[in-house]
Amino acid sequence: MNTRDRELEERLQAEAEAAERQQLPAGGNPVVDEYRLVLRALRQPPFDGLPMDFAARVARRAIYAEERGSIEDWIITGLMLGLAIGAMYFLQPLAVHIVAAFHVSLPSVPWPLLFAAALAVAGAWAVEQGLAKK
Amino acid sequence: MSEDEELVKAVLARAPGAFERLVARHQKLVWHMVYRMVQHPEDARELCQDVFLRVHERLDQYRFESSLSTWIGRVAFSIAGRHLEKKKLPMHEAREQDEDAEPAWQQVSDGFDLEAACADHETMQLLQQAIEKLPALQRTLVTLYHLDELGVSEIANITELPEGTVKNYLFRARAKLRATLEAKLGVAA
Repeated sequence: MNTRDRELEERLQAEAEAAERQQLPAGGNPVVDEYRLVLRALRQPPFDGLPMDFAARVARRAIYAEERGSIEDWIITGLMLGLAIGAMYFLQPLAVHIVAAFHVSLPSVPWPLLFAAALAVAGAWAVEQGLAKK
Repeated sequence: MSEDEELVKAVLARAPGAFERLVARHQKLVWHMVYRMVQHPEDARELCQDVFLRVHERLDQYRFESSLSTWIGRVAFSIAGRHLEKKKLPMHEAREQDEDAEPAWQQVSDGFDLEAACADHETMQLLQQAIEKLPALQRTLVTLYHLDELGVSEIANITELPEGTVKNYLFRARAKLRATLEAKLGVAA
């Protein structure tokens, strides 16, 4: 369809829409009348397939889903908490061993020196960040 | 405060009956869209329910930037679109075949009687069947525009298509339907 044809066709469609809106009598241009028939067909709704109580039913389901969701959240939180406490209880002896071994493997550096080193690293990092921004 | 705003706030405040009112107000639009997209009553009913459950779940994310019907329409369009994708059903036509065809305005039947054709059950049924045979996206767009009387910009907002594309699809769908009608009248003459 070339541009001219397209423009003509668009004009006919617009005329049909206007004629339908203004409820003009038919019988002018047969093409416009055919478009008017098309528009009437398009305005016919598809059959209503939703049950009469659809809104009430969906609302009930939404509330149920929400309540079930919050109950499930509570159950999951409880289970996770139980699992964490259980794990801590059963893994405590093992954890004590691991921490002790870690402590032994650390070199015997005095704590004030470690603290000063950490402070120096943090200071250097802060200075570098400041320079990078500039 | 607009009616939409009032209703949304009531739903979020868990006011009894508020969500039911929201569903009742928008169920027709959702049904039209979803049914015209999937064309399967059972699936459409299920999907309509899914649409409203999603709306209920995410209503707190609605920012009143568009009308509530547009926002709900967007949810419906996305859910029905995903359903078509899952079922591997095409949303668009593989290739627009009417591009090179003779323009419909050049095929004119003589003595077309609008009122008689409108009253003719067979003609109207033929047009309804032709509407059902349109590609899913075109079916949805003509439904939103002609049946639900949404504006082009609102439809563009729902479908996330440019306005020009929406107008183009509407034009093509109407031209195709008239060509179907013309073919029938030609055969009948």
